[in-house]
Amino acid sequence: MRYFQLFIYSLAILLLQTTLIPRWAIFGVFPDLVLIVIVIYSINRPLEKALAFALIMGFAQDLFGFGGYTNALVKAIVCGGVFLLREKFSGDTGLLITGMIAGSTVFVSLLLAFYHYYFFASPVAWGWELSSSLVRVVYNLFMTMVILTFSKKVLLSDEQE
Amino acid sequence: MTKKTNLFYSLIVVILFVVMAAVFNLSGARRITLNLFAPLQSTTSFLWQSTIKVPASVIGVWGLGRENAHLKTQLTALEIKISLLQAVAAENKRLNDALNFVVANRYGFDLLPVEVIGRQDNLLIINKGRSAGVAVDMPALVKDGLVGRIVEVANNSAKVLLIIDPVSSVAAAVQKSRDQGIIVGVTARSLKLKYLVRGENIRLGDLVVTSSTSLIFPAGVPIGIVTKIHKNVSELFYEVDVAPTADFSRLEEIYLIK
Repeated sequence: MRYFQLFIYSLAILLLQTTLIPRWAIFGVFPDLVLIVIVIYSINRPLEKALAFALIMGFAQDLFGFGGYTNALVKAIVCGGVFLLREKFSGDTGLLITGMIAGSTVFVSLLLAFYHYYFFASPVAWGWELSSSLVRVVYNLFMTMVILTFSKKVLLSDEQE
Repeated sequence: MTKKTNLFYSLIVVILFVVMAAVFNLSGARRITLNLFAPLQSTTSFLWQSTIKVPASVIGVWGLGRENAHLKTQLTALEIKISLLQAVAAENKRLNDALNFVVANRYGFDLLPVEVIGRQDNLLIINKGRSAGVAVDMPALVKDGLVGRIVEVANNSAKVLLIIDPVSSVAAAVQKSRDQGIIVGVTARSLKLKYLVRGENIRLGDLVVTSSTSLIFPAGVPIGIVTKIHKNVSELFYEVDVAPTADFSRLEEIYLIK
């Protein structure tokens, strides 16, 4: 039942991410719900479960794209980062989630800019990358509050797994 | 095994998975996803459009009569303009024929209106596919300018790669000076015109259009406006920053050229 619930929830997130979220762009920037959901899910899950979830969600996101599987890779790296940092953190979970989402948003933006520069010789507009990252961080943090309000039960498990 | 070693091996598995996915292309899986999600995306998109249109239509009812009269006047003016342009086109064709010029048909394109039902990064998902005659490489545009081209087609939906994507490249020319280059995507709000051999005659504000050398896009479609010119004497080519004429954050309905 729990997995079925998670499956339906993930489909809803993917549908929102590919349909409505792009319509709510601010300065051409829109939040990444999949990233937010992966970070929250990885906070207190065992590595295998969190990584599998990140990989599946990233891969599903890539299936809407055109052959590059960057989302699957980037989301798995973010999940690994959450796993490493959560061990060293002893404070409030909310603070950890906020920090991880802010950090991973900037990390993902820079990683994708590097990917395009390295593989497609695409020029990096540093001013744009930094300003859009800032907007995306604020937007992602706002959406984190919304997601946590509506789906804390699905994403944050209380049981020791 | 320590947690770090565990993580290291897990990431290796992830990298292998991604490499395998890239090697096997998985276009079939992408098409299946497109087919499965298109009805859901279409419904969600329709519901959203209906929701946001309700207040606008309630407010709009008050000014309908005046707007109708204004639109009728505009329509008449446009009809006159079209007939004048058709006369110019016919004259142009006649003169070209007289000079034995072989020119592409720039005046008889069939436009297929399609609705945007989804978006993933710089790819749009549209509500028409193979069954409506959509095919790979069809150019997509709006009234302000070029949007992109079709890269993947399913039965009832398709994907449009936007020109702002770093992977995209379009043969382009500066309208006034006719300098030729390649337009590539940089950010959601800027493009770059690269590989310009000469650029002395380019001015800020010049319009960049699709080039007649393009095998995919028809010539003369607006792409953007020149905002900055990089003249580096040590380099072989000029580079020009271009602001796209189309607003890529507000694409609801686009047109495909059949």
